[in-house]
Amino acid sequence: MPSLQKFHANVARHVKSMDKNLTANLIRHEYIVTTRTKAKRVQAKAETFLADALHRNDKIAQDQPINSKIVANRALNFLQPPDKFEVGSKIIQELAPRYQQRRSGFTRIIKLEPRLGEDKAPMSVIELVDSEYEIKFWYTAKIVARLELQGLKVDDITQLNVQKLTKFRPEGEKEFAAAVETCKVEFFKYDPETQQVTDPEALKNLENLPVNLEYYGGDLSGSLVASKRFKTQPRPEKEQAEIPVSPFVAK
Amino acid sequence: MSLSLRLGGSFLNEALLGWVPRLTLGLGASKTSGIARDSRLDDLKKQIEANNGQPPFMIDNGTILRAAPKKKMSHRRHRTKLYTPGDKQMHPLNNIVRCPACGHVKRSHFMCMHCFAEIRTFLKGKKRENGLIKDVENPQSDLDPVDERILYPGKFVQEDERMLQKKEWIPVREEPLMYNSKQTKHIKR
Repeated sequence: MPSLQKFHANVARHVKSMDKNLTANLIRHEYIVTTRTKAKRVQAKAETFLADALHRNDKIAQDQPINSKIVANRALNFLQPPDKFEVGSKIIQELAPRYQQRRSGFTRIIKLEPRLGEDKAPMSVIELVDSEYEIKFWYTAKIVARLELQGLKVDDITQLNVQKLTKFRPEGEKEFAAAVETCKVEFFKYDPETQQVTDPEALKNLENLPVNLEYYGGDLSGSLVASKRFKTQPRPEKEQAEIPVSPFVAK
Repeated sequence: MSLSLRLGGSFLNEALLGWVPRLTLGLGASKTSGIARDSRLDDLKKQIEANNGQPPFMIDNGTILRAAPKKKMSHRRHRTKLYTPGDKQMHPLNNIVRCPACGHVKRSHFMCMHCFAEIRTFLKGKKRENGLIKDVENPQSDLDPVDERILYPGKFVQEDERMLQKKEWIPVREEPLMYNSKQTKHIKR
């Protein structure tokens, strides 16, 4: 009887080709939505592959044409042969300058709700960090845009997230500020000319405030990122001790 | 089989046969006997009083009707019910929080699907602008309407086909509720 499922997760060569295909598509599309198991499995492979490929790319002489760079980079042989030149050129041209300061941690997994199908499989997004299409970047920008429209200050956790997202991104803070402005227009129907939110639905949505406003610029700001386990207090500043002048020093 | 037999036990019968007549007289005596009184007897007293001293319909042969199993539960059934993993019920979600980006409910540590859908649509548009997603244009999209009618004469679509074309069979995620802290369960530690 013919089998419906031709591709098995417990056949080694199928798993290998799945890893290669998912890695190639992750690099091609910057983020992909898959089931959680696949995302977790491909994350390890993609991280190793990218680290190796970028490391070898640094060692290769930079003054040669792109095709000879791809041929010289042995790490790219992990990819399927038809993907090698397309994905390899993207790694060398786009990812190498983007990840100059990183040696690992090129990907991120975000957990999603289960799939709306028969199988209810837990889904997740796997994405490349510092990308233009990074979902967490835009989500955080949306949070900041909403808080700005509500006239609240940014809370600790969001501040921490913003700092993490913009740390290694080239011109990160500038890009983030631009993204916040885009989010206001895109998601909250904000009119930059009149500086008003025009849409009544968006206005109604903005009425939903956080539960405890003390975290948003109030007394409790700064308390969330402090460690609850080790109740540390900032060390008091040292008093300037006056050293008496030595009698042996010639006046 | 008479009901009294099904509701089984000579003990029950005797006990309740004694109880019911006394109920009309008064229930004060039962407290002196030192046995904890069944709360249903109080209900029975009210029912008898409301029914002009007559026993209600549910009284038969001096017993109170109760749900009774029709058959003895088999050994296997009994043990399956008791000892298989009991974690079969739907559990309430206790990890519901407010999405800081849209104010709807979401599960903590999970992406808000409302925001995710918005952001994904936005990013797809952005990719389209940057030329990463190329839409293939139908080569016959600018056909003359007369030509189109000749080349592709209208096909009669059956009712079921039309329903399928509406794509209502595709599951769609519901619009999430706005977060309200009064409606969520707070775990006290």
